[in-house]
Amino acid sequence: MSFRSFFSFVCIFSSLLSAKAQERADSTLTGEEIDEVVVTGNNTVTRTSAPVRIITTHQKERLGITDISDALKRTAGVDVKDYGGVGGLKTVSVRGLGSQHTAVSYDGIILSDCQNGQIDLSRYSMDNIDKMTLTIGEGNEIFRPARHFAAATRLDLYTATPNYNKEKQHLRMQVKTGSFGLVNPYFWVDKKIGKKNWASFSSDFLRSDGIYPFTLTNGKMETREKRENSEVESGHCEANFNSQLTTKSQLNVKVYFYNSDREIPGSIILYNTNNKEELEDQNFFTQVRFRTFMKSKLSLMINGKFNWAATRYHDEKPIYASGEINDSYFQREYYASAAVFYQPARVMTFSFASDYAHNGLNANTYNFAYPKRHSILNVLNAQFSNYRFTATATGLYSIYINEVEEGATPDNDKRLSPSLSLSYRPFKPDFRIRASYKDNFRMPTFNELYFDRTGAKNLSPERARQFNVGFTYSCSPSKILKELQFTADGYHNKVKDKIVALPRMFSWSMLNMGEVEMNGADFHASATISPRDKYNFFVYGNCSLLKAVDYTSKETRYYGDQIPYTPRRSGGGSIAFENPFLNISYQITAISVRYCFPEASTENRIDPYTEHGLSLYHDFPLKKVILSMRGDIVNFTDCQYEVIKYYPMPGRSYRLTLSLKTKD
Amino acid sequence: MNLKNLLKLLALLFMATVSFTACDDEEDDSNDPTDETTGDFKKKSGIYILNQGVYGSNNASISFLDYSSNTMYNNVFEAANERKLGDTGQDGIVYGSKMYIVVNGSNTIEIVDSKTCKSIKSLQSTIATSPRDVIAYNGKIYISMYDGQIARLDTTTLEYDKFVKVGPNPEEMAVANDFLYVVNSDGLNYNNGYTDGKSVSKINLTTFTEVKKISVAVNPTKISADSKGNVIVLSMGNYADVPATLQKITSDDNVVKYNIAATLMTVNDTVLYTINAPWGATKLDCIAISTISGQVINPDFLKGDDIPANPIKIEIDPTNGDILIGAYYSASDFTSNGYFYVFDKTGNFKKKYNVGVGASGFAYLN
Repeated sequence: MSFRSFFSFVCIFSSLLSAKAQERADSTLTGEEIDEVVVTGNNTVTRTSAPVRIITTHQKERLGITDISDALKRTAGVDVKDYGGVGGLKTVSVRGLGSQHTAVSYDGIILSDCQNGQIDLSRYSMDNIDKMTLTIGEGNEIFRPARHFAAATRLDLYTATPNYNKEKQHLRMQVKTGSFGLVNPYFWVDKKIGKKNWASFSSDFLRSDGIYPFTLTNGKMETREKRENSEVESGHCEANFNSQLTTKSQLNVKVYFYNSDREIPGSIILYNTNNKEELEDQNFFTQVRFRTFMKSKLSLMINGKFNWAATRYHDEKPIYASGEINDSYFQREYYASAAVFYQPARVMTFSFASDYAHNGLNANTYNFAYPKRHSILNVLNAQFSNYRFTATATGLYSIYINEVEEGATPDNDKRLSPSLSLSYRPFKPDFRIRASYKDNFRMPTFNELYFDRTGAKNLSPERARQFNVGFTYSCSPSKILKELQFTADGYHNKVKDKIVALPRMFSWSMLNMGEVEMNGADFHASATISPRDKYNFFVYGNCSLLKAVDYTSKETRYYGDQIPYTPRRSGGGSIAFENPFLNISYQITAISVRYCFPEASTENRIDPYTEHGLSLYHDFPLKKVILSMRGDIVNFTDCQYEVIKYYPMPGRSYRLTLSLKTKD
Repeated sequence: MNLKNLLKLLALLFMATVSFTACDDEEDDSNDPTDETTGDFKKKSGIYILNQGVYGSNNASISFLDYSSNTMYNNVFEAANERKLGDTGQDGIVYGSKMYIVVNGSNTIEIVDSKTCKSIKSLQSTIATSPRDVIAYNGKIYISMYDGQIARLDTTTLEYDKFVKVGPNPEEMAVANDFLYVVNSDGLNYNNGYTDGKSVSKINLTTFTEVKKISVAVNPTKISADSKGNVIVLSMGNYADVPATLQKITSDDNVVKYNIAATLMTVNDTVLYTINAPWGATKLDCIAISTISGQVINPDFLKGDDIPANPIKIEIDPTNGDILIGAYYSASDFTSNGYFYVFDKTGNFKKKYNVGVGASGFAYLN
């Protein structure tokens, strides 16, 4: 499909919308609504002045989403780096920015990994997530901890908040099973304690041998092979306690533990299948949040967190002196944040947040630096908002102080990161124009600064500037066409001082030398169609165009080439038909050509692919419980493809989910 | 809007997404310079160049420089065998009618017809793993294995017939005074400061046993023999506070240090060619010295402006004395196709050719 026919499709779609457009009730944001727990519904997506994507439990079912990375794959501008299989690393990169530019929060507090600077999304079970929100640039919710403002994009994950109507406690039991030896039980219980408190506990366990067949193409030879050394065992448990201290104050406490033990299949090495790498991960954290609405104009929020994580890497090969390698890394974080929100007038709000984090990394490796980092972040937000116009200005001031026990200390850093966003509704129907700008940076990770011989202590932060212009449109034209939503955004990003690895004789070194410019466009469209009562069609489509060009150095073959692992075009869609008998959903994802190295040459090319999925699901309401059954066929055309070169993805696979939950 | 229109809209939406990427008219931004080999490849004389590729990426390849036409043929292995060479093909040697290629990551010795590059045998072993360097002597092929041994390959049966244990992570080998010398780098034992990587194993070729370990500087990786029975060893140091060191082992096992900094070297007759290209250097130091006296013979043996920016291999062409250098594309580009440089024996630039990624080994077909 050419670009012209694509844009004509966009135009037809938009004109259909406007023809049927009807006026829609509009409510301006109130102070309470700014609290992210209160903000629900899709309208936020079209209202916000920066691109936001929200996926709730219901959408999750309709979109056939099996895990968090899968949900993000259905979002325009998001590229999921998937190393394949159940235990494969999954990270996201948004609009061509590296995965370290995406922060991930869990129930309001940022998850951090000071060692790698990126969050492996395969660790977080989708079953436990009630809602997720991806914000590109700065959204309109200004009452947040300062760390939320420190990344180019942010993914917020929220676990469920129980609703107590009749029952005082809820139970949910689920088991998922499927191809490649998958067994995945999940358990949730919550209970109302007294009038004002509730507590919940959830736990899941996952096991998979991960052995799947794939087609290996080697020159003109094609062979059927099996992915070996990919067994995974992981589990997590989590407890929450929530107390409504007074009518205006609330306290949340969370305790979280995760453990995983996985074999790493590694990349395919031709003629050599002998891989014995293993990785063990443990993560414990506890977090506390206290919120109070003092009077009607002033609110206060305090957050605290302690985080501990261990990673143990094991490999066996005759080439090692002792026949094996055992590297262990331990990280610790102490975090505290205070934020105030002030609304002097109905249209004017301010917030100020101050965060402190202390991160430390220990390891058993030779000459380890034992680095520590103090991060002090202060953010001031001002927002003007009426029914027509929303303007948000943000200034983040960050101070990073480095400490080491061994060797030289890297420089400290102080920087101001501004951002600005505007949204304007020129006429009555819910049509909005938006524009945003954000200039921020990411600090070098501890691996980039200190790792063995490769780290470089003189690294500067990597800068990312984002410009976005777009429009959003939503309406409910008729009884049949219940809801229509359309968003389109064009953007320009610029990454400077990009941290890249270069070889240094036989090892590697890190340098701030990269320069990348991105120009792209993202489109989302969704519609809810009800031809009859209880018969609904949910239609969703997205697509992205992205030109991310490397302007690092003219002394390379790849000057002016598309950066690696970044498709120029990607898109997807789904259609779900929900009815009283059997719900059915079909999904498609399509990714264009990518390159595995900076040079966009034929040798480095990774073929485009299209993946199709099919899901059938139905709820059986019984006396006191609801039994849900769900069957998914992932990649039902058995497409053989790779996201990362020489990490083959599974072909067709099946999944069956049975769940029992008590009624509300 | 009626139902019919709706269905039309749905159909349109899905057609759009399906066809969006399905038919891909994307042009490769290919500035790919390689002359792919087509048709039957059969050569009489020239140089095979082993391009090691990027570690873990299965993009090792072989290029061939044809002496008669001065033409470079790229990807000759894949063209001849319709399959890839594998991961990290670092070295090769032509001996008799065959070429023996070591492919480190793939743990394979590819034995090919030296004129057509067609594979005769892919030798794999679980006893001797991770081949690194290959040389030939007196009817046998010797391969250093990164797992700490030297394997001897019989050229008639094309099987290993004997192994000898040396130090950890051996790299290059050289033959002098009827002994085989191999450097023990202990290169993977960085965590313990390369404790056992400070020696050269001297091996009796008749009994194929280790005679002794000769102490040298930390992390020796390159070795080359001169015509007077001396063996020159380049140790890389620890890439931190211990710099690279160049040493000579005399025929009576004395070790003498040369006061010269180098990161690459090769020996021809009694001339030691050194290149010093440490990290971040803007200029290469190319100094030729006498292996006997250590005196500088030529303070800058490469002339002209077109000097390799990121060399990984230097050797002297045994047929005509040309200086051959394999190089990455530039100091900052090590994943793209690189260059093979030819300078004449007086250091005048002759030609540079486009080859694969990381031209790290040369094998001569005569």
